[in-house]
Amino acid sequence: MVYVFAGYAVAFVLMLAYVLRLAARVARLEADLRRPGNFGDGGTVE
Amino acid sequence: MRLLGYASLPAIPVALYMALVAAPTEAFMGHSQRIMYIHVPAAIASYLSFAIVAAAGALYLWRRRDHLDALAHAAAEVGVLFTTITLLTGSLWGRAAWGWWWTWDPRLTTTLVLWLIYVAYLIMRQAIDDPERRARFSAIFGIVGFLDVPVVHLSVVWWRSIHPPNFAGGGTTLDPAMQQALAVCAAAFLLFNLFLIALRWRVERLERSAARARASGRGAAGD
Repeated sequence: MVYVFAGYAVAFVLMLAYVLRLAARVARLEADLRRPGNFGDGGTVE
Repeated sequence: MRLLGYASLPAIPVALYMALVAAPTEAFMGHSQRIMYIHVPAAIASYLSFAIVAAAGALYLWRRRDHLDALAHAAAEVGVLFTTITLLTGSLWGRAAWGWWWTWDPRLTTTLVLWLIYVAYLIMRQAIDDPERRARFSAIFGIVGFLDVPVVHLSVVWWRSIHPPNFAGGGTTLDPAMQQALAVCAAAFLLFNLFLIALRWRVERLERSAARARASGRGAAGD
C-alpha cells in the first residue's frame, strides 16, 4: 500500500507543481506585456 | 487551451476513482498493482509528447515558422515530465513486484535512454544562442530522438524482458474491469498532457514576444 501512495503522490505532486508554475509564468508574462512603458514601447529608461 | 483544461481537470478525479476504487484488486500483487493505472498512462502521454516534438520539428524544417519550434520545445519539456513520472512509478512498481528498485532490463534501459535524449535536447536548446540555428538543430534532434520511442515500445518483444507485455496487440491477460479503468486513466492523462503542452506553448510564445519587444526597444533606444 505504501508503494501505491508513493506512486500517486510522486505523480500528482510533480504534475501539480508543473501546472502551477506554468500558470504563474503565463500570468506574470501577460501582466508584463500589458504594462505601459514596458518592453521598449517608448517609455523604458535604460 | 481552456477547453482542454476544462475537460482534463474533471477527468483526473474520475481517473483516480476508477484506479483506486472501481478497479478490482489484483490477486497476487494486491493494491501495489494499482500503480499501473498511472504508470502506463504516463508512458503513453510521453510517447504522444515526443511524437509532437518530432512532428513540430519536421514542420519547422519545412515551413520555418517560429511557433512550430516553440511547440516542439513545449512538448519536449512536458514529455520529460511524463517520462520522469513513468520511471519513478515504474521503479516503485518494480520494488513491489520484483523486490528491487531498478534493473537493466531492455524496457527500463531504453526508457531511461529516452529520458536522457530529451533532457539532452532541453540542455542543447539552452546552449545555442542563435534562435534560427537552435530551432534547426532542435528539430533534427527531436526527429532523431523520436526513433527511440518504437524501440522502447517493442523492447519487450525484441529482447528477453521481465517487464509485463504491451497492452496493444493482445499481449495482455488483464481483467476487463482493469482494462476499463486503465482506458479511463489513459484518456485523462492524454487530455492533461495536451493541456500542459498547450499551456507551456503559451508560455514559450509569450516569452518570445517579450524578448522581441525587448530587442526592438533596445534597437529604438540605440537610434
